[in-house]
Amino acid sequence: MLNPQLTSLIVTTEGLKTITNILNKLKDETKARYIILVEKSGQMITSVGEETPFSMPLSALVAGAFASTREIAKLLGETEFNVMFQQGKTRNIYIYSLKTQDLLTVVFDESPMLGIVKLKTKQVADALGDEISSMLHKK
Amino acid sequence: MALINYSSREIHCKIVYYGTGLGGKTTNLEYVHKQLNPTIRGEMVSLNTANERTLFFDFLPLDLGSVQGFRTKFSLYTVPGQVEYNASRKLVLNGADGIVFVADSQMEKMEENGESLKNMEDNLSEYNMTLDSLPWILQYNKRDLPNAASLEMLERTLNTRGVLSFEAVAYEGTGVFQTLKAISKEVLNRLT
Ligand SMILES: Nc1nc2c(ncn2[C@@H]2O[C@H](COP(=O)(O)OP(=O)(O)OP(=O)(O)O)[C@@H](O)[C@H]2O)c(=O)[nH]1
Ligand SMILES: [Mg+2]
Repeated sequence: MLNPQLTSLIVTTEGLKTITNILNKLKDETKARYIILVEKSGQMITSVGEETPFSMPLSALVAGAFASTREIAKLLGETEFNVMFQQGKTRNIYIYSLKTQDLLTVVFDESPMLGIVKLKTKQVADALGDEISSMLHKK
Repeated sequence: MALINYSSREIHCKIVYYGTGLGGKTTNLEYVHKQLNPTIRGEMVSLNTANERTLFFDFLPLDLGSVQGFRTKFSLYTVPGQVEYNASRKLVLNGADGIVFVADSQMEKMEENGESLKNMEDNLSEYNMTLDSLPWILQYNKRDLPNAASLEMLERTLNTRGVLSFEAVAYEGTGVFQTLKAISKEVLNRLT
């Protein structure tokens, strides 16, 4: 069997089910195209919605972009910098940093949905953070 | 940080190529990308400066087959070697499961190699890691150059801990896969 000694995150079938349920509900409520949950070092934990062939590089870039935003916050003497939003012509991306520092990444088309996206991500953030924490294996 | 997914039966690991500026880290990933079949590697993403130096990181995802019924997925990253980009180097190191330290074999780069190795240790310590707590190996690159230091000298200067080391000429591909195979094996050995 696998030795979890060096492992930090073990995604169990039950845990994944809980997370997927939360994400699917969030997707419906926000009319998101897809939602990706990204572990803080840049790996995708899971995603719901439209399949994208770019989920791996997207996860790496989201984690990189957010990590540098977080460092910028530090330089500015700001501690609460937990959201990043980019608005495009047709696509928008909203990234919310959970208390575990993992990243809830919502990609959606309709910019008027932003208010809802903000509200709903915040509402599920704690539940997701708790679920991930319970799957963390500390050395 | 390795991620083991029991639902999709996948293991994800992160390997970081570290070392001095212009040492050949990006070249290693480019060679791997060029040689491997698109079915087992994803697209390479490079965040560069205008003159092709790494600004933040290169990223290349690979699928390296199955171990004990789990598919093993590796994310290869490089850091920017230029001294002034330490903040980015530190960020990329977060969650690394294994490191390849790419040393530039040229005689006049010896001091820079040492400083970069020291810098790597300092950055690891910020994540409560040490060179003893995670698998890492050395690659002596640019063995083709006439001013390359001898292997003995490189070993004596850089490999005080006696980790695995490989000679390479990255732009020709010499030693590139040998290095990759060795580090991925060491990382998986820790997990299984
Ligand atoms: N002679 C020789 N040149 C090499 C070798 N490997 C790489 N190079 C060259 O060295 C230069 C720098 O290589 P990169 O791979 O960009 O170096 P890097 O470590 O990514 O540098 P940074 O991104 O600044 O950290 C390029 O011009 C490569 O073609 C080698 O084995 N021998
Ligand atoms: Mg580079």
